[in-house]
Parts: sequence; structure tokens; C-alpha cells
Amino acid sequence: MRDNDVLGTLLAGDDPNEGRAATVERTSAIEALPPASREWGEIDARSESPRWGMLVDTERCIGCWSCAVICRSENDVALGMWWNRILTGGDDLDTPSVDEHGQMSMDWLPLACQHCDDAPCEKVCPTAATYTNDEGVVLVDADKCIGCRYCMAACPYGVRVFNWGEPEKATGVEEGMVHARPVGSVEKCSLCVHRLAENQEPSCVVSCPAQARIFGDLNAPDSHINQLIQDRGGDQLLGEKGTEPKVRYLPPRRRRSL
Amino acid sequence: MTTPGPSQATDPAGTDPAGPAADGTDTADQAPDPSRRRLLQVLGAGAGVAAAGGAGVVASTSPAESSSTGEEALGVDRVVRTTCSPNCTGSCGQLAFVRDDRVVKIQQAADFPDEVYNPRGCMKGLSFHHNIHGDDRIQTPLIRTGERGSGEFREATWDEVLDRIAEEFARIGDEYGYESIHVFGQVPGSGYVHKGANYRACATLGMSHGTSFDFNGDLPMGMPITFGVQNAEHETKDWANSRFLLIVGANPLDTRIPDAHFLFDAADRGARLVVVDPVFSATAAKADSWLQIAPGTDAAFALGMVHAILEEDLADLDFVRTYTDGALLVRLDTGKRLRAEELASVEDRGQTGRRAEFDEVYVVWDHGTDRPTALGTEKLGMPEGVDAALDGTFEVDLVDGGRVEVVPAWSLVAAEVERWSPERSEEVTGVPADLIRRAARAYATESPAAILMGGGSNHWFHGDHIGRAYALLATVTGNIGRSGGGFSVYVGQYKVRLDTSPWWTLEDRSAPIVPSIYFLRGRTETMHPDIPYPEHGFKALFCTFANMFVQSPDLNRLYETLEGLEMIVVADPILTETAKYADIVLPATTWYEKTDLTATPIHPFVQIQQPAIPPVGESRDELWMWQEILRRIDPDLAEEHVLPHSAEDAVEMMLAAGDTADGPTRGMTLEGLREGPMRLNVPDPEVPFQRQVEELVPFPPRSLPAPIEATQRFVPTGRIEFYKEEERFLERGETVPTHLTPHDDGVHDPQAFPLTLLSPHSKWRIHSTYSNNPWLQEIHGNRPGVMIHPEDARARGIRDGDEIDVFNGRGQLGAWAKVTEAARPGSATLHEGWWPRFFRSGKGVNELTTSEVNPIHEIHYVANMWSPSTPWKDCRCEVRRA
Repeated sequence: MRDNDVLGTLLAGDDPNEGRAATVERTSAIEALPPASREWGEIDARSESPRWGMLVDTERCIGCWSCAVICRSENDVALGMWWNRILTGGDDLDTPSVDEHGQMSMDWLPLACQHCDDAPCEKVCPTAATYTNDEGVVLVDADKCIGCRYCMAACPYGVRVFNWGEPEKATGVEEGMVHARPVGSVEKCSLCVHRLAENQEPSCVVSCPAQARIFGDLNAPDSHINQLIQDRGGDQLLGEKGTEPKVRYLPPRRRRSL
Repeated sequence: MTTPGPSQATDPAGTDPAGPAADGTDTADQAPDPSRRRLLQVLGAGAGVAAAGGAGVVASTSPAESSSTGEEALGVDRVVRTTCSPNCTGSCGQLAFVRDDRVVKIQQAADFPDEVYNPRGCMKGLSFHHNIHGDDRIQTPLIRTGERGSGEFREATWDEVLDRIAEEFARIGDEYGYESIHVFGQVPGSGYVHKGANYRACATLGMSHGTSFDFNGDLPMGMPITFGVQNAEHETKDWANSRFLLIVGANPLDTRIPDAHFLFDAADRGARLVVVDPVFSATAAKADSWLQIAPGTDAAFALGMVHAILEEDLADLDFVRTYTDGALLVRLDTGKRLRAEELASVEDRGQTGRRAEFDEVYVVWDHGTDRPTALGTEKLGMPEGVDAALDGTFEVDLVDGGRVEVVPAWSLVAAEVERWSPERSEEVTGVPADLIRRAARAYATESPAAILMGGGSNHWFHGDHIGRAYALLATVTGNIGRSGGGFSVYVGQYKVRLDTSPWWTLEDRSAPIVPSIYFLRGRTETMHPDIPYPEHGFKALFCTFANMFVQSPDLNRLYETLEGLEMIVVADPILTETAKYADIVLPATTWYEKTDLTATPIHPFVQIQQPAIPPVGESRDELWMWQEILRRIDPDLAEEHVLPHSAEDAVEMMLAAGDTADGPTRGMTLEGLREGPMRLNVPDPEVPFQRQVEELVPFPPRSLPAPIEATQRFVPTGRIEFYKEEERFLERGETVPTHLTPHDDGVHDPQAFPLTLLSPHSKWRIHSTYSNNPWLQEIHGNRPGVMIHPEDARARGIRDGDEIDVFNGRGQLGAWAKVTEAARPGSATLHEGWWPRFFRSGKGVNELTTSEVNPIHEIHYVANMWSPSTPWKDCRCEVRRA
């Protein structure tokens, strides 16, 4: 089937896979991984009641957007929408900021849902579509979402996006490892809960070529993330808002002049 | 077909921090969002490190509820491991997640046995399924119906196009000889089987194969001139073993994304990062120091550093004596090295053996005996007890009765270095003398120190001197052949790592190879006589794996050449500008649809590509295309040489040939590679010249696939050569490393064309691949911006975002201004690889670049090893508001 045919079918509301489902037995994308690849993505230490968090090393972040791209791919996020994006210090993508002394700098800050312990988005949701699961992950139940977008106004990080219309796809077909969200719903980073369920780290962590992201169970004393937080701390974004994000950021290293 | 996408840029809450607009338009005009500014405060130097320290574990606030995940995972039909291959050198292992024979997700395999290499792969490779299944994918063979370049084609069957190609090639073969057909393919490391099929087809019929490494300007001519090798780089994990990293004309944070972290690993261990670049690049931003150099002046910078090192007595002259030609005597009357046989009498101290039968025996001056002493080429170092002079002038008696003055070669090198005080270097480079001295001191004392060079320093007409000068810097500090040290030029997936001979060549013949620069511009007066330039010139082109009509230099000249061709065939998965100009377009498979074998210079793992999905549309691989064409031209030849082989056979032939005790692919099999990457039979870490330095084995190590004899002639002394005696070096006054003014300064009057046009590689593309990738377009904004400094913009009445024309005597293009302090005054920077369709006008940046050939690059000829290297960045221009 050509792209346009598939898209036409989709828009007409028909399932292009109808009739196939009975014959095609699909495998879990995690189970289908070669052993070494699967091992790479495994979560390091896990307590009895995990509380998931992430640490982003802004020194190591090179602004390549690999995390953003794999996130879009994993979660079938439509064109025009990013669950995860990279802020640049300068006025434009890949240009430096210049201070009053003419000193240039260029840094990147990957930004997605901060999975706040005290999540403002959750508080304002009139239908409890936004909720925190028992592992500390802030999620949106698309079936309950009525599209009022109060949560988007309440989120100080601007990480939620809204499906105004039919999602636009570059190749016109369903991609990714979860279903796309329906028109009229709000969506955002889920920490790849579908992967957590199979003991795999979120895609952005697994695919960061600079290894700038550390993921793990904040309740597991031996987890790498806990050790790093103990050694090096890590800032919460807009800490003064009291949202208590479970995502933290390590600052850039100090430079040595010649 | 689509509803306008939901847009974060029109986010009603107004909290969008930096999201590009849904329609892919530039975000440059949007005012910086105040909330973004606040978020970025976390990046302030050292801000609040302690603020959250120790608060690692916070009591859970989530109620004990059922573990509802809210997301249902979709399954896949299969996951297939293959290797990404877009000529970026990364050679990254990827997993294709497949549903209904479509790739629906790509993720790094992260299965390298040496874990430091995991996960290799960047955002480009991760979005490649949009190239595989994108709008520009060619689905069927095409035959041109309109003018060349009109893009008017009709769909055709394979039989029709293959018949037509065979008929036309046979006619051209009869009329002019098959050597009049130029077969072009890009660097072989990214696909030994199908790129090898090109070579095999050429060998079978006698067609001329083109070149890529030199044509790409990546061949760092300083390497064959100095070390006798094509190139030699440390594997990238060795960066982490350096204490000082001097990064010159390279931007690995943007262009070596999978390897960039090794720089941070080095910094974590206390290494210093110094970046030398005209532009404030991403790499410069992460460095300890950034030295903003004037474009094309690296040789003056490196010589200034060497000057400071010699001045402060920080040089390792024993290293120079042991491994270089420094002690060899040079005749002042002829400028040639003194040969032992020329002398009436010479001491023989037992080191006069020769490395090859065509080698000579040279002479050093022994301070111990105060006598000339013979020195052969079979071993580095000096004979026992010989204290070889590196300076002074001596008189020797010749066998013909004459008497001549001789000096050690090092004294001639040192005399040139003496001219390059840091103060003089500052005048040329713009880097303050004080900083040159500090950099030199740190480089010489923080050991081991590595130099990582990229195309930015190499892509100059006199890039050979830039390479020679940095090689000198690395050598005088003893940084050659050591882990964590070295002078590495990271440029492309050119390197032949395997024994390809059973696949690329036939038993009795191999493809005639003509550097593609001569295809582009015809013979030069100084062209090397060994180059098999066809008697009747070129009449046809078969272009594979390349967007050649966008990515070649001097495009207007190239198009003149194309006009004279009787047939142009382009095989490509994507309808590029090059394919659009073809007479016949063949739909090729991507590396997710074929079997191939890959390796790269920058890590030592061999990998295979294996099909994840069936060929899209009617696409086919290149080996199949050649089988079908040759079968139609000469069934017997085809039956003998190409038809019996599958891609898997080819893999096995190459692996088996190298499966010997010392062979590159010892113990490697196709079955093994199906399980994952396998390490080449090389030391760990892979450090060039280690055997030379540790075991005194003469230079050069072999550069595959050339026979060792071919490259031994590049360095006849068997040593690191800083003095060159070939006639053309003497004639042109280029015997020792020096700084020469950029060539284009003599072509374009710097008054009329005051800007240097730099065209570095982009983070968002691999050359022109991914130019049309919709995901990446959405991120980077999809509009070619020419970076110019605010001063240069003001002088021309240009504001940020203005439509501008960039022009010189070779061409002109219409783009947009990107006014930024990141640009050096006097330069214009436009990243290469944009497809022409994204410009306001013109064929792209290469309308302006040059194809000039440096006669030094024509002294010897070994394809892709000593051969003309394209000087992309040696290019003047002017910019004006459109």
C-alpha cells in the first residue's frame, strides 16, 4: 500500500491493519531486542516501590536533539509537537548568547515534563485526566481529557502540547511504540511508562549519544542516579515554584583559562 | 491530505520555550521567551550546585494505587540490527523496528563489545525512516522526457532502462573505449560490497572509476607528505586518554556526535580542551579556551607554537633525531639529500640496510667521530654510539672530487620555524602572541597531548602545509605513536580496513582509477603521467551513492562538463538534484534494504548491514544493477566475474582474505557479524605509528589497498619527513612546512571580495543527506542562513534575516543573512549540504567553491592517497542585500 492510500484509510476512519490483526502476531518491541541491546536499556537498580527520576548533565548535553527525535519516534508524536525539546542559550538555534562584556556562550537545556511531586497541572485538571501513578510518573489519561488545557496554562515549564487537529505525520502512517493521542487531548512526556513496565529506561536516556541523561529509581539507594545526586547535587528548574520536579540538572563544568 | 498540525508555537498558554513552528518556518524572528530565560538560569556557571545537594530521596507523594501505566505498548513484527552509512564516518549500529514491512522506529543497537562506544548514533540516523519512506523516495526506474535538469521523467521498467544503458555503454565502449565511462561512488568504508561492485564492474569492462577521498578535499595531503600514509587517526576512545586536546578546524560536537562524549570523558579526568576555529562553534563553546583564528592560517599558528616550544627549550629533539629525517644531511648546492654513494668516503656503523630495493642510503653527521656516517632506511633510530647533528654546516668530499656544504635537514626546518615568532604568527592568524605562547607551553607540558584536526583546516589549497605544520608540532613534543597523543585528521569514512582485493579486483586486472577532479575539469598541465586519463575524454557518467551535482566543487564548471556527456545515469534511493539531472534514474535501496559490510577509521569495529525490510518500490541494490547491465553487454564476462556472486558471497570473500594470523579480519565470519560488531585485528587502543615508535620499524605503515611499495615512495627516507626534496617542492620553495597565503586571494581580489566563504559540515545533515528530512527540518528551521559578523553586516546595510546574495567570480546564490557574533569578521559561513531547492536562487554553496589543483598534489599518484585534494574553504566572496 502506498503512503497516500494508508493515510486515506486512516482519515476515513478505517484501520489499515484490519483483517491483518488476526493473522499477524506481534512481538513486544522490548522482547524483540537483541540481548546486548536489551541489556543496554535495562534499569540499573529498582526498589520495591520505585519513584522514577532523571538527572541531566548539561555539560555533556551537546544539543543534538537525539533525545527529542527518539522520543517523537517512540511515542509517535506528530509534526509540530515535541514532548522533549532542547533549549539553546542563544537567540536562535545553535547561536551563542552574548553578555554585556561581549563574552559568548552556548549551552543547551533539554526540557520535557519535570514529573513534579507537587504537579500544578494535576491540581487544575477538572476531570483527573492528569494523575500521578504510584511510581511518581505524571501521566495523562487521554480518554478523560476534555481538552480544556488548564493544565497547559498551569505548567510553568511549557512542556504540554495539544492535539488541535488530526496529527500530522511525515510518512502518514502510525509509527512508534504507542498509539497516538486523539484530537482534542493534551499530551506530554510519559517517561516511557510502557518501557518502564518492561524494565527498560525511557528512550531519551537509552539513546543519548553523549550519555548526558541518567535515569533511575530515587527510592533505590544504590541506583546510579541517587549516587550522582548525593555526590553532585543537581538543580531543579524553577525551584522557587515549589513544584518539586523529579528531573534535576547538573550545571556545566568550570573552565580553565590558558 | 493533512490538517495543519497542532503547534507548540501557537500554544495558547504562551509558555512555549523554544518550539519551532509547525510549518517549519524559522524561529529566528520570535522574541526570546522570558520563561525560557528563567529556565536557562540553571546553566549559569556553577549556579546552585549545592542548593539541592543531598536532597536525593524525597518521600513519595504518590498514593498507593494500582500500577496503571496509562500507555499500551505496540508490538513489532521484528527488530533488525544493521549499520547506519551516510558517509559521516560514524558507522553506528542501529536497530530497525519493523511493522508491515515499514521501519517505524530506529534506535541505536548499543551492542559494541567495547562499552565506551555505546550508544553510537545521532538524531539523523534515528530519523532515517523518513528518508526511507519519505516523499522524495524514488519508486521506479525513470527516463528523462524533458530537458536535462527539468525533472521531467516517465516511469519505466527495469528491462527498458537496463537495455538502454547497456546499449549506450556498449556503443561508447566501441567508439571511445570503456575508459570514457566515469563511475562515481562515495567513500568505500560505508559499504564494501556495493561500492566494491562498482570497482568490480569497472575492472570487468575497463570503465574508469572515480575517486572520493581526494575529491571530497578530505585527503590530508600533509599526511602522505610527512608520514607516507593516506591518513592515520587514533580511534576516538583514545581522546579520553589525553591530557591536552588541541581541536583545530573541527567541530566534533556537531559532526562527530557519537564520539563527542570522549571529550567530556577526557575533561572529567582533568584534560584541557583548546579549540582553534574562526567560528564560535558548539565545540568552542564547551572548550576551556577558544582561539579565534583567521581562516586558512593554521600553519602560521602551528609554526608559532613550535617556535615558542623551541624557544623555551620544551622540544624533544631526541625524538626528532630518532624518528624523523631531521639528522639527514642535505646538499646546499642542489637542495637534495646527500646519498652515501656520492661521498668519497663515509663511515659505516652497521645501519645501512634498506627498506625497499629502490631505497637509497643517506648520510648523517656524527659528532662523535666528526665524520659523515651512512644511514639506511630499514630501521629508525641511529646506529649505536652515533651522536647525529641536527644543526651546523659541514663540508664533505664527493666521489667525483668536488666538495660541497651540507646541513642536517632539521636546521632548514628550524630556520623556517625561526621566522614564525608568536608575534609574527599573531599578525597572520589574529591569535594574540601571548595566547600562542601559553597554548604552546601547555601543549608541550600537559602530556600526552592530542591534535584533532578536521576539514576546516584541511580544505585549503595549501592544506598540505597546515597538516605538515601540525605534524611538526606533534613530533617535536614526542606526541606521535602514543596513546592519548597523536595528530589525527578526522575526515570521512574513506579508509579501506579490509582485504578487499578478492571482491574489488579481478585476478588479472583492476579498475583504472582517475581522480574525479580531472573528470570535472579535464587534464591539468601538471597531471601525473600515471593517471589513466581516457584518450577521448569522458563521454558518460554512472553516479552512485552521491549527490554529485550539488556536492562537487566549482559547480558551474561541472555543469559544463556534464553538457558534453552522452549519457548520465544516477542510482539513488532519493530523487536528489543529481538524480533530477540524469538521463536515466535507477531506484536504489537504502542500507535498511540490503546486505553490506562496513568499517570506519574512527573505531575498529566491523559491522554488516542486513535488510530490515524488502526493497521499497522497485528499488534494487547496486550489485544487482551491475549484474544486469553487464549481462546485457557481455554475457560471458558477466558470467565469469559478477553473476555468480551474491552480496553475502562478497562479504565472505573479503573476510576470508583477511582471516590470517596478521590479517585485518582474523577470526571474523559473516555469521559472527550477524550477532554484532567484531573488532578488527588491531591493537587496543588503536594508535597510529605505535610500531614505528616502539619497534623502530620504518615509515610508512601500509595504507590499504595500495601495495606498500607505492606509499614507501612518499617518504623515501623511511622516516617522518619534514624536508621534501622532490623537484617540484624545490621549484616552488615548499621543501619545509611553512604558511602560504590562501590561493583564492590570488584569484579574487581581496578588496572586491573581502569575505572568506567557509562551508563547514552541518550538525543537521551528513553532507546533503537529511537535507529533506522533515523531522530535522522542523528543528533547524529549513532556511539556509549565511553567518556574518554584525560589523560586516552593518557595513553592507544587512540585518538579521535579510535576503542576501553571496557571489564571486565562479557563481552566485541567494540565501538569508544570519547576523551573529559567532562569525569572525571578514568571513561568511554557510553550512554545506543544503539542497538547491532551499535557496532563493542558485545551485548551492558549491557554485562558489573552487576546483583548483595544487601541483604539489600531483608529484606522485596513488588514488586517494597522493592525489589532488579539493580546497573547499579556500574561497573568497562578497555579500550584498538582495
